[in-house]
Amino acid sequence: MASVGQELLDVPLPDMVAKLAIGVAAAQAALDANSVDTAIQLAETEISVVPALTQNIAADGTVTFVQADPIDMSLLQIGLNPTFYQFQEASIEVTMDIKTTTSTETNVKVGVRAKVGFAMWSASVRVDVEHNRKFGKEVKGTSRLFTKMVPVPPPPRIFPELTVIDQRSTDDGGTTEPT
Amino acid sequence: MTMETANAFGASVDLVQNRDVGLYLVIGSEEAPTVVRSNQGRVVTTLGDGRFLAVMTFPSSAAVQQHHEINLCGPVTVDAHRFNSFVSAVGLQDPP
Repeated sequence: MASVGQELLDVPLPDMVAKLAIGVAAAQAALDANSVDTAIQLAETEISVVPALTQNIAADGTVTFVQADPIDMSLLQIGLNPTFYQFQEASIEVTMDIKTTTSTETNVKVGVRAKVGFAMWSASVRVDVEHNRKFGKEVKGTSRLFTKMVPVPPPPRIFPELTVIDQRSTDDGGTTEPT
Repeated sequence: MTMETANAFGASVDLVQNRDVGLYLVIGSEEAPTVVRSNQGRVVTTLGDGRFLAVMTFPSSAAVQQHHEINLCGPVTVDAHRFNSFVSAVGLQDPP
């Protein structure tokens, strides 16, 4: 019978750790690839933006609207970023309950035999003793793999910086600073 | 852990996943919105050309991504600073 210590040693923990690590790496690569594809599509998807709308109210109360020419902006430019995920934590928890039982069963068989005849008699007693030892083992095990995935800031260089230079004159005659 | 290892132990594998809702850019065929809805997602903005934004859980997004009508289902977030700069730049509101 394998010992309890051997049962614990038989748990393929290195194999489980290796496979978990490979699984995390594969999942991380897939997530990164998906985020990069999303970034490309966000950069290529453009929407028309009307930068200004002027409402004119004439003296007779007539209201008209004049809109500036629409400009095309990508989703990336207006502030939609791809989300990048990162595996922050991965753990394996293995618990094993091993219960061993030993029982001894003893069987005793007693046989008596007697014979009488012609002024003679004979008798015999036979005793058979049988010992059986029974071993039982019950193993219950659970393992729990836990991974924690969190969003992380995207690589800063993939986004164009938005700088606004307002050339309109301010009240003091200057122009506003870039924002 | 692979199912191979699980089977070797006669174990059952239960997967528990995060159910938080996120925003996703979805690109696909004209059936793509139906695919998203059938996976408990919700289309929030249509962008044209088979592209739209939808909210759904991460497991739902994984299921949508695997569907043959879908070309891309990628997670996106709104950069509040950049979006506010854009909104103020186009004159929709004053800078915060």
